[in-house]
Amino acid sequence: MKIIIAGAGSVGRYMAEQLSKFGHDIVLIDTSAKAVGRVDNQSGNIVGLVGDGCEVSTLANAGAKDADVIAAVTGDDEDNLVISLLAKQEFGVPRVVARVNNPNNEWMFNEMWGIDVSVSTPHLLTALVEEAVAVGSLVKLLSLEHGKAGLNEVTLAEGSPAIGKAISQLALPRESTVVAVIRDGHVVVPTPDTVLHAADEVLILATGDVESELGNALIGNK
Amino acid sequence: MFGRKKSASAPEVPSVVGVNISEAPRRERTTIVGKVVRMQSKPAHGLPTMVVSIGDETGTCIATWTGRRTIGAITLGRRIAITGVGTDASGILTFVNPEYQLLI
Amino acid sequence: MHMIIVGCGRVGSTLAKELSSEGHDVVIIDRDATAFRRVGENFTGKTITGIGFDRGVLTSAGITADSAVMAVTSGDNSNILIARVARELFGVSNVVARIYDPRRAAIYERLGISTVATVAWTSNRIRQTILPHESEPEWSDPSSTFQLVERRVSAHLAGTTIEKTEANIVLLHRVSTTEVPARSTVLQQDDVIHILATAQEIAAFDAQLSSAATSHNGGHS
Repeated sequence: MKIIIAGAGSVGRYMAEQLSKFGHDIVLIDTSAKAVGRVDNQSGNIVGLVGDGCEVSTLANAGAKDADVIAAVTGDDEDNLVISLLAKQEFGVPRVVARVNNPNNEWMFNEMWGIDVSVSTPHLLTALVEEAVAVGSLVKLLSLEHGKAGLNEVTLAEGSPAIGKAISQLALPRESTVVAVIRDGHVVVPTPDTVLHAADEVLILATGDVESELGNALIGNK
Repeated sequence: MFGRKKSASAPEVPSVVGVNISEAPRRERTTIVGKVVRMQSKPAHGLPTMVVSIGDETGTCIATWTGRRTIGAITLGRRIAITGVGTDASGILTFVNPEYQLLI
Repeated sequence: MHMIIVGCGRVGSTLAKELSSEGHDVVIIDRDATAFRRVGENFTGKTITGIGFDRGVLTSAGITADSAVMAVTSGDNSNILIARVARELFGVSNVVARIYDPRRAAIYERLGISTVATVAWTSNRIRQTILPHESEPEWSDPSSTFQLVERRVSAHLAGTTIEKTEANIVLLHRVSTTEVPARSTVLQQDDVIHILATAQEIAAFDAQLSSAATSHNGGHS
């Protein structure tokens, strides 16, 4: 795939290096030649471009017309929004991924600015911390498909109505599916007959607004 | 004293040339000439979005304007030309915030 | 009029002082509180330290759909964000964004945002855009019979041909192009036109523009 990464900070460089190892063609853009120069181009698939990703000419030079994905990951939310809008509007890039630096700006990171997927590190970190400490609560780890699907997690507390039941016996909402059960550090691939234990970490993929039904099935009434 | 001139020398509006919707390339700056066949206002994330379906004899495409509910004189039946970079966003040729020209 | 200016640099502070002394209700926003020294101690408007595209900050500035918003920070991207948030979230139709990079201006004008390129007389240009009817004409002939004025086409007038307006529209600016328009040209919302005519004829044109002045141009209402 042809991927453009705008922003050669530590995040952008890491992404470029990792993605290039998978064989993708990467163009890494930054206004700083020094930043671009720091990238480790072992794979030989990374092309550095010194320029402002907020300019149509720079994106054109980066091959935006043929790019499959653009990741706007600078440390500046305004730049990420503008880069995304230009990528979608002027070049029709199919998948636009953007980084949210300040969670107060997260509300703008959607189709209104040409963004397909936004990633907010503070948000993710909070969710992961919640996941680590919250036993007996439903934690939303990740939103997918423009927010239409979500990956949720519950660590079953002692009083959970799900304990001792097989997955097929749980009153799970129709638009959800258990995708993994983590038990004692191992991943148990869930089948309809898998019986749940206390302290199991259950990962559920759900579409639609099913939080309360999931809560009822796995946490019980408070 | 001099008599009012009726702008005989003013330029004529050049006729707009577009490609057929069925033959329109993707991800290239393109002009489509057609008629507004459907208008929708689709709020997204609490903000207004205007979705206009434009048709010519060969097919239909969509022009989306973000952050607006209406644009003056873009109404059903209006002849219009739009210029932008089209994609197959929702399975149909779609333009986001294109330039447009109202035609008579 | 309630006016919100974002960016207290040279242009922003000049506008703030002028508009405030003319009796408008002015709020000026800047990320950096030290910038407010530019408006001086006698400034009767309100200053707010904060980010101009933040919803909370704009709400505390008292933004309503009837406000005028001028985005004149030193960053093109910030100005675009401010303009879009004002228009799309708060339904403000009277919005101007200053743009340093003229190539970017065209793209934003497609979003229906009025832009003003940075020039020596930027604050005047912005004033004219926000208060077209309270500004001096760009030019008058020696006998003061004819004036050259700039107007922005409203949603109401869109769809009318230049010929039908019966006004002497000598120049039309649309997105990235400025040209002498044909009389059969159909006017579009947000077109910026220049009219060379008598004050009476201009007033007649203004009446056509504002026949439905209460409807917001593409705003959120």
